[in-house]
Amino acid sequence: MTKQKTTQNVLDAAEENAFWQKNDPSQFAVDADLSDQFTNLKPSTKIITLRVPEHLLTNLKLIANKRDIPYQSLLKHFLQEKVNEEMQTPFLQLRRNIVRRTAIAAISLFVLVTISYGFVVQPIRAQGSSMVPNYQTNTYYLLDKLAYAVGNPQRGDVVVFSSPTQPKSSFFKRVVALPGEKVGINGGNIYINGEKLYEPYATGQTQAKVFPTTNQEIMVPGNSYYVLGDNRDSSVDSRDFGFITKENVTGKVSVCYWNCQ
Amino acid sequence: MSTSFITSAESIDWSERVQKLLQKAKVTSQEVEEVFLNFPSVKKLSVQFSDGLDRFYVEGATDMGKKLSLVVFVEAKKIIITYIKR
Repeated sequence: MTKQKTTQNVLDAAEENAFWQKNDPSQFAVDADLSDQFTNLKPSTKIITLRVPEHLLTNLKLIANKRDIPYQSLLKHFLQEKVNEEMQTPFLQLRRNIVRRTAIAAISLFVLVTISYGFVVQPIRAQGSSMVPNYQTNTYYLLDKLAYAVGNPQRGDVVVFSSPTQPKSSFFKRVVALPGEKVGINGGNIYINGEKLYEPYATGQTQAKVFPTTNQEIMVPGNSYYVLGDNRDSSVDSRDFGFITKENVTGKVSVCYWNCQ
Repeated sequence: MSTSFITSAESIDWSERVQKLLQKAKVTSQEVEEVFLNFPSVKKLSVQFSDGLDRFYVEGATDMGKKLSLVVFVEAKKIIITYIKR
């Protein structure tokens, strides 16, 4: 609460401006707020002459009658609304555009990623040591899911497939033998149709296991493939679980995109 | 009571003298008008003037929240502004 100042002088109206220059009016205020307000004060107006098309005036009067207000008031109301809208337009439009473009971009990206992930490419991570040193563990690749939409896996392709023994697990191996070919393992080497397969990518000794056993030759059935890990000493592959079908193949391992060596 | 003058006010005087006050305070007539229409605090001032009209200290805010202080009196249903401060 400010201490109220008083002045004994009766000031001339002409002196008022100078008086308020020197004194803070709030210090002369009587403390209590008056309950009265400027209830009859109307916004300042300026008279203008306006020519409007007759049909516009007729329509305006019709709308005004419906709302039970004078058409001049309605005209001012419409004018005010439009002016407010126009004054806000650049900012609002900019904001709306940004929101709309961001939403479109986000939806497009989502759709693109969903479609890509499901049907075109999928990021995968190499795990385990069966493809070392060509495919180190924890390196990331793109899996080309359309690679075999038309054609078939070829010898040397590295493919991802669902395990015949554990359908929920995916494996990462190289195609070694194609449908109709005879596979044999002897002396640490692979033989396809009786001919030793040149495998510059393989490391370790290729030991026979179940499919085939030593000195045995097995034929790859139609629509099936014989796949082996590059690291022959440390790979669970077709030697253990047999052939995989084309339906098991999810896609062909494509380029490395992360943690590549 | 003299406060009835407040309610009787129907318009604001925008004479050249008031325009100078507006310019000096760097506010617009629209902002001042908004203060009057936004239920400002109105206090009577104890200062007496030879014209016999009471001065009122009006404190309020514009639509955009700018706070203004004004000294006014009411004559012939018109608000006469004699002081504006932001």
